[in-house]
Amino acid sequence: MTRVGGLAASVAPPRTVIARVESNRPLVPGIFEAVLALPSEWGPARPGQFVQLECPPPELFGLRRPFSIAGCRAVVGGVEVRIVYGAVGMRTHGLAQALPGVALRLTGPLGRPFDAMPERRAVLLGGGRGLAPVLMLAEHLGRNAHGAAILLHGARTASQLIPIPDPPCEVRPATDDGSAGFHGTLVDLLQSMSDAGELLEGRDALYACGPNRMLAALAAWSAERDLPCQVSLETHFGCGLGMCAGCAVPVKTTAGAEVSAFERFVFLCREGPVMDAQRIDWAGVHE
Amino acid sequence: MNGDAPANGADAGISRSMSGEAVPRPVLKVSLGPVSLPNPVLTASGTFGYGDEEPELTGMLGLGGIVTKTVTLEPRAGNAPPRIWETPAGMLNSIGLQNVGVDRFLTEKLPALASLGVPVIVSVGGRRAEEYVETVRRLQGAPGITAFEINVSCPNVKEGGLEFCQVPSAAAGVVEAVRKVTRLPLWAKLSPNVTSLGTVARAVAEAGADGVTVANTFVGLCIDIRTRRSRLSAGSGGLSGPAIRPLALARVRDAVRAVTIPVVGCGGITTAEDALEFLIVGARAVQIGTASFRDPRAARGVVEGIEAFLRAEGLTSVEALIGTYREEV
Ligand SMILES: Cc1cc2nc3c(=O)[nH]c(=O)nc-3n(C[C@H](O)[C@H](O)[C@H](O)COP(=O)(O)OP(=O)(O)OC[C@H]3O[C@@H](n4cnc5c(N)ncnc54)[C@H](O)[C@@H]3O)c2cc1C
Ligand SMILES: Cc1cc2nc3c(=O)[nH]c(=O)nc-3n(C[C@H](O)[C@H](O)[C@H](O)COP(=O)(O)O)c2cc1C
Ligand code: FES
Repeated sequence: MTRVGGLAASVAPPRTVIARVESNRPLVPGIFEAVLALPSEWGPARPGQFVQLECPPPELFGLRRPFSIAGCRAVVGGVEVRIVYGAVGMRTHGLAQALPGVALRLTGPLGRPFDAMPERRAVLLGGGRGLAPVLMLAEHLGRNAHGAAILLHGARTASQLIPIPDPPCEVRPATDDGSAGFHGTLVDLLQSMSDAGELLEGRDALYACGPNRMLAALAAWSAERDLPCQVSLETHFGCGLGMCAGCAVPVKTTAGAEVSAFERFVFLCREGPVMDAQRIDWAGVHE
Repeated sequence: MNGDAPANGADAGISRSMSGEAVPRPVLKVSLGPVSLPNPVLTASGTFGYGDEEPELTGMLGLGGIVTKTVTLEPRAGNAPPRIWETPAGMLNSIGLQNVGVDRFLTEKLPALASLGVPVIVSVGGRRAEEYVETVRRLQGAPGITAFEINVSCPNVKEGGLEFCQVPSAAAGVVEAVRKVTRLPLWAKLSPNVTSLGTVARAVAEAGADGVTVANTFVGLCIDIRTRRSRLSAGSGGLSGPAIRPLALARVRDAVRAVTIPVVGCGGITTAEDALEFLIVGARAVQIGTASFRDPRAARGVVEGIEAFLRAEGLTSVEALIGTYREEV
């Protein structure tokens, strides 16, 4: 059996192209979905991979921004890529203003995708705008007949839960304030599922994207359990291409193993953004 | 000055205009003392990895040269994250010279770099003069190295870095020590964080440098007002990008006035127009850093833009432009 996400499977070579904004609309307050039209030679992209996208305003020099790919499909005359993004600062606010037709330079697909383990049931966790890449993974798993996935979907409050119009699998929402679905965090929800015997060590695997704080809690929770856990992490990127060494993430070194100082940090844009949660030295990960 | 451009099209290469008549292509080749480059546009150290990272590999084709990430004797971990903070028209970084170390560089990085057909300038760093010497000694003789750039200016390493930047005799001491173990051309990369860059430039020139790169990043600081902490875990960092361009240009002018060895300009160059300012002030080549993060093909765009400008101005070579700054005195 081949792995679905495929660390081992080949990924498409990245290309720098002009992406044209096709649509750009809010999904919930502060979180937007942009659909981008790309030339047909681009991709295909795998769940967990990202793009480096130029964000308006173009006349002000700025670094490009990394965004996880939320969807990628071939359409007549090209490829359509979706991203789901929060308007948090200058560039993402600028992006939220981009009207259909705006042309933006984009490089991708980049980075390591999720490496789905077909022998285990997939338990997917998407916190806030982190829903997008795991929802793409859920769709991917469905299409590839490993359909036994369950998607846990968290947000602060009901109005921030991104709607999922046509869910590819069972979805369980959770909110921090209890205004919709389970009352608590996604890790609380996992714990309750575990208590109810709905989550099985040795049988399930976890795939998650969300705020680094949530991923750190998840890593701690799953550490002592037989539940492999892959997380899509974020840090500040300079280039997204392995050129600047800006995206360092500290990793654990095996006790007694001879490693060079260089190996203390990995470059998230190359070795990630999806990483084995237990490989990361969470004490050194920033918000 | 600089009137050594070939006068006829044979040397300059011929292309055909739309109407079919022969138009001489401007000569982009530049010489920097012992170093000859196909054109004056290089990548800056630490902004193009070891040349093998940029996944499309398109950015470096047609460049005048690649300056590698600074290599040190031992592998270095670098600083804890966050290492990057964006600022208006620029960025702060505190990478701290994370690199694989000279031995792995020799076996894993250099061969691929050397095979690209673009001149390779290896940037060398260290905490003490002896480390620079030993690193260069190990690199010395490996095929594919056009020159060394001696980084006596990294603001992001605690030990040694700042002293080498700021004490002219310390910078000169490193150059002098390295000079003894290699015949390859040596450029010294200087820090702009000094009162008189000219004084440091003169000191390294007297110590045997074949060129100076002006300059490395400016020390900067950004604070998160809520936590009262620095945006970078290392505290301060190095400022780069368009924000520093006029500052860097003035430093280049200071260096050109101070020394007769070639000056390589670096700091905030994004477009061909930016690069031309540096060449006009007297830099014989330029390096592109931060701009490559936004567009890995930026440096190649600068090469094309310089050529277009020379054509438009009716100039036959880039040499004819270098140092043509009309300074009021
Ligand atoms: C691999 C990866 C995938 C990502 N996927 C998504 C996604 O699908 N949807 C989404 O909304 N966001 C995603 N992000 C985060 C997104 O890139 C940042 O929110 C964005 O860069 C902020 O830019 P800004 O100018 O709006 O904010 P700024 O005003 O610059 O800063 C706001 C905050 O964003 C963060 N930030 C700043 N610069 C960068 C940078 N260069 N790279 C990363 N973070 C930065 C900082 O933590 C800062 O506090 C991803 C990040 C990474 C590393
Ligand atoms: C992320 C980053 C890493 C850098 N690493 C090095 C380095 O290893 N050695 C060095 O000499 N300069 C290093 N520099 C400095 C650049 O080579 C260059 O001098 C500086 O960024 C100014 O040019 P720019 O404005 O075009 O980027 C680095 C700069 C950046 C932004
Ligand atoms: S973001 Fe530049 S190396 Fe990863």
